[in-house]
Amino acid sequence: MDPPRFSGYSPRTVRVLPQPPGIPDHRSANRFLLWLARSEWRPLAWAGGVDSAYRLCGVLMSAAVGATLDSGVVEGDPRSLLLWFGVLTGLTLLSTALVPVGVRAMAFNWYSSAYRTVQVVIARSVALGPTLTRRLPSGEVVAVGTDDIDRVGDFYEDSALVPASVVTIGAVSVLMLSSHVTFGLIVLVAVPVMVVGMVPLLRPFSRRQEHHRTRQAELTTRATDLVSGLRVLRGVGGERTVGDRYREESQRVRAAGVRVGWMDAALQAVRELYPGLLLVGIVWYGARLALAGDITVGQLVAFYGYTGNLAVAIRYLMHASSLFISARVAADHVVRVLSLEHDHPDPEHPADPPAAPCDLRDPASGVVVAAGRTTGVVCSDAAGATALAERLGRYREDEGDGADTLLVETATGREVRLRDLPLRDVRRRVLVASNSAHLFSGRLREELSPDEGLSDDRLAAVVRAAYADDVVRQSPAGFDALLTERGREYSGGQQQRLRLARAFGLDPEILVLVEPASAVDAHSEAAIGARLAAERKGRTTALITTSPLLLDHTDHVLFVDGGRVVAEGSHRDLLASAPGYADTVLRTVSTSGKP
Amino acid sequence: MTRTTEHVLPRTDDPELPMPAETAALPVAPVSMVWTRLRRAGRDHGGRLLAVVALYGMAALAALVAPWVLGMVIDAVRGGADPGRIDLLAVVIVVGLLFHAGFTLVSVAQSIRFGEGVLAELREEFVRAVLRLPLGTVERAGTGDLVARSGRDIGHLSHTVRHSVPVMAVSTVTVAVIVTAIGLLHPALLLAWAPTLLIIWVSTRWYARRAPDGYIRELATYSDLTQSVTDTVEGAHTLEALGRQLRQTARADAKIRRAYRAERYTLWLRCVWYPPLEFAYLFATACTFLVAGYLHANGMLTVGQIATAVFLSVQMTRPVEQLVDQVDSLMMGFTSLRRLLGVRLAEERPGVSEADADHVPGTVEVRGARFGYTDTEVLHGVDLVLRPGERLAVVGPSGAGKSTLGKLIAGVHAPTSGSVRVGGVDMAGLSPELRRERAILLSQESHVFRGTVAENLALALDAAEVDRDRLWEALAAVDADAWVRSLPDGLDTRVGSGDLTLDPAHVQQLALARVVLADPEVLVLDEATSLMDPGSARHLERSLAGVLSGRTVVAIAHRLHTAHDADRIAVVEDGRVSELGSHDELLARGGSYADLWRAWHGAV
Repeated sequence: MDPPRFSGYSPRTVRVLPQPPGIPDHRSANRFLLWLARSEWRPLAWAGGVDSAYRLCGVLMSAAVGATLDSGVVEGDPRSLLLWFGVLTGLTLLSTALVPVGVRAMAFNWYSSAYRTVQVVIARSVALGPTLTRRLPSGEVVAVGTDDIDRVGDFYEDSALVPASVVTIGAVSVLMLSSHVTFGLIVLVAVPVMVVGMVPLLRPFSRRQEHHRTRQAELTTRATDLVSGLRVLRGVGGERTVGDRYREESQRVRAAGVRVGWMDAALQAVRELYPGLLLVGIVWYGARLALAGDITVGQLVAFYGYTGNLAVAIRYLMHASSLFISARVAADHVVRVLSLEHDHPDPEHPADPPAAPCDLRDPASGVVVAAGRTTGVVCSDAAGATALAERLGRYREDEGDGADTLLVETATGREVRLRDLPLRDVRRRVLVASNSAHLFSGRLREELSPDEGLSDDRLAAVVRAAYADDVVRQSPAGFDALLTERGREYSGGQQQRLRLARAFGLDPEILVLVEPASAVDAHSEAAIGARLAAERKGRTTALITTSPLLLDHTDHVLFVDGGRVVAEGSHRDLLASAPGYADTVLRTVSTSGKP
Repeated sequence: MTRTTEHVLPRTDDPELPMPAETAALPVAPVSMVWTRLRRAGRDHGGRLLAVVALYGMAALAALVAPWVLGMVIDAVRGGADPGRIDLLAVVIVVGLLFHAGFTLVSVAQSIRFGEGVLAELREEFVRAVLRLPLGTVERAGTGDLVARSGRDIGHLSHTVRHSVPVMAVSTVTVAVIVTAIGLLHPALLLAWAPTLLIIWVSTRWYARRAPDGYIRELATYSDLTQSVTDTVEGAHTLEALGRQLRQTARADAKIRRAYRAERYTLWLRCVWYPPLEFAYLFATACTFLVAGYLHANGMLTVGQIATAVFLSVQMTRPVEQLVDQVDSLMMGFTSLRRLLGVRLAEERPGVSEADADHVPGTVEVRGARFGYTDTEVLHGVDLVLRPGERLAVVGPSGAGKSTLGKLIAGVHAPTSGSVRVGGVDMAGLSPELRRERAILLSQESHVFRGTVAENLALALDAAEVDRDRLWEALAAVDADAWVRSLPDGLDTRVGSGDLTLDPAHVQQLALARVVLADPEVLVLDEATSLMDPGSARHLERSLAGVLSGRTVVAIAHRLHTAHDADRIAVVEDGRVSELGSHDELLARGGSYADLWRAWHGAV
């Protein structure tokens, strides 16, 4: 559908948002804001132009008021009075017509800058993967996506006021110069002096605002944390403690807010006082001139009007600078997310990607995941299993040379370290599917399919392979059922099978599964074991588990004890030959231990 | 005009994503509730508010000195007065300005202090309400909505309170003072404002009728966007593993698109509303000239007074404009307040029953319990009676309703029919605190709060001062003392989002330690050790059994050693208890459990 058109709104700036955000400059808050301005220069310029035109109307009205007084009122000519009334009404109508154009243009700048900011933050978060939450509390990032975009948007929305104010000041100077040189000079000197006179206040304002923002972010983080852990709190208790802690933090934010408030108030007082002083100066001098007959009463009134226009312009300049400071504080937090680097950077000189099929080898433990087979890996302790999975998928790098996980071309025997390949390639080829994987809200079909999508037949096949048919059948909508946040409407076992189906759907060259059937009953466990082997037939799979039901369906089993492979063979051979192995996997239940 | 509306109304048929309404399960407060709350704020802080308004009044009065004296200057000029008089008048204006600036400083600062106080009160109230949400509601509502309410809505409200309320106060007082002043010059001058007021009234009413719904919808789209950000941040690890980076950004873009559409609607409303307002403000000045000119011609006003009238009229434009401008912000704030107060509607109404006389600690009676999350029933009439101190294992196929049964026993949900009595009392009638003393459910999903390990554990005791030895005992009971000791600062190590990330198995141990500290009569463990390796899990369960001896335990587990170690086993299949008995009895029976037991061992 076409967006609605409003009179005077340049079609070039009517765009559907969001637009592709581009690559942000994250070297500093200022550079980020500059980058935003460069990306949006056209709508920004348009808004500035429209607002300038609107403000010019205001200046012309002041001139018209003076003229009305001189020719219409003082000279007592009713026709002239009506004429000037007409001029005033005409200018009024012109301003009126400019209003919706300006409002739209300025609002557009809010949307485009705020959306672009949230887009780059999301893009960066996505690119950082596991690094993100390791480096920053999640509440901090969420606060950027909610609070900080508002501040950035607010500044760009009102940034049109800056050129408009400059134009106003210019126009007033010209008008005053043309009617009286001294007046024009007073304006030209006084305005910069006033703006500079505000600068000493801006520094403490900025400092206090930064303090307030920090406290505010901490409060948001606390609220997010509280909400995420709400089921624990409501289930086990601790509401009072957490509530008290929130209240303390909230009171700190209040105190910081009051401190900013004093600066706000001071700035506002100055915004009233400085232009007021200029006004007195002009009126006093003007009155002396008028008394001497150098200018008319109407001119004096017009000057008064001009100083009103000037006052507005100066106020807006000051307002824009306060907004700029808030935006810079916010941009600082945005930049903090944007400038994070991934813990596993891509190599500068990536190695030639090894050709499939490949073995996956972990020298640290001696584990080899053989190409085309399903390899069971039994670790005697859970922490060892987690560490092994992380090494196999390059989620952690062990210190020291020669301990890096390798891909080994089976055809040539060439070894390539995972760290010498771009991370994206590693992720594409090796998928580590663990139970902490996140289920996203959305349609089930979309959640189970890789980007290119799956046919319904294939979708049904992967669901069957994960023994998750009943999960899909649970909703009448089938694959179109909606998954809420984290798939919470499904039980732990159902979520686990959905995760498994999702991994099958992606069909990676090498799949590392960590305890894929730990939350299901024994029947399902056995079924998953059998179907998994069939689904991954001819593909490379590592199955890190202690479940005998799964291990029974593997081609080969490695037993890792004390961080090293100590025995290998088939599941049944190992049961017979390796004593520690049987203790780890067999579910013998000694009745002596019964409490 | 109607056709245009259709164009900009946010479309609700986006095929890509569910509508925000589906994810926002929490209610929005009715308008009357907001007024009641505001009246209370007025009562509580009325004196303070009056003081602030009085300060603003002084500031507004001081602001009138300039136009008023200027009229006198003009008359003085026209009358050819002594230059010394003009100097004097200029000094008067300067004094007026200084007073005005001084009063502005104090009144703005005081109103922000007032606003910050009210704001802190409201957000603390909101969090208190969140902390009283029933567990069942928490389970169903997404966190995105709550996060958005606690972030964005409080932000809106903050803007309203910090900015709009002071501006409203100053503008109202200023308008009142200027109107009086104009009236003093000549009452007929006020007529010039009649058309303006009419235009403002009509257009603002048009706007105010449409805007609130637009804003409700707009804020819902932002809740949805926040959910997307939260999903992205929390699922960043998975997104990378699955190579879904591009898809996630595309989804976020879709949500932004929807937010934009909602924004376009309210923007369109503003674009219709603003022009008449603009016209109205400026037209007042033109009309003032007309009336003043007429009065002057009839000798009722001097030229200086005309100038004063025009200046006053111009000066009134700004406060009126600001007053009307705040309508928008007020409506946003009002809407946000409705969303914040809405949480209170979902708040738990604690039951009446105090601990009653025939309280038998540790008994569980489930009678004919039926339950379904939606129209589809999950449990079809479950009967189960446990004696105090009994250990029951619940086994059965995935998705059979085991966890749901656990939630009913812990009082997370009330059965749709039938009853669940723990310790002889219907759980549905108890306050959460009493309910927790009776039964606690520990599920697989846990959370580590930002703070120290000790703080995380102490939550269960809900007390500021905690005996550390008790914490260590609890940790020892769940086999976690060794690794906690090895942390850099032991119990004082900071964990949680942004600090140290704990291994999932360790997170489960902390959760268990919390429950040990809470020490309920009945403990429902839903796969509470599933993330540990089987050996450690069994060791933990045994040491836990020692600590919990005498407590009734319902353990939902797939690892059958848990069942083997239990007093009795309930097999749940398709929403019913199909078998109930001890391990040996059920094996001898040769039914589902015996099958499961054989299968669990594998074909060796």
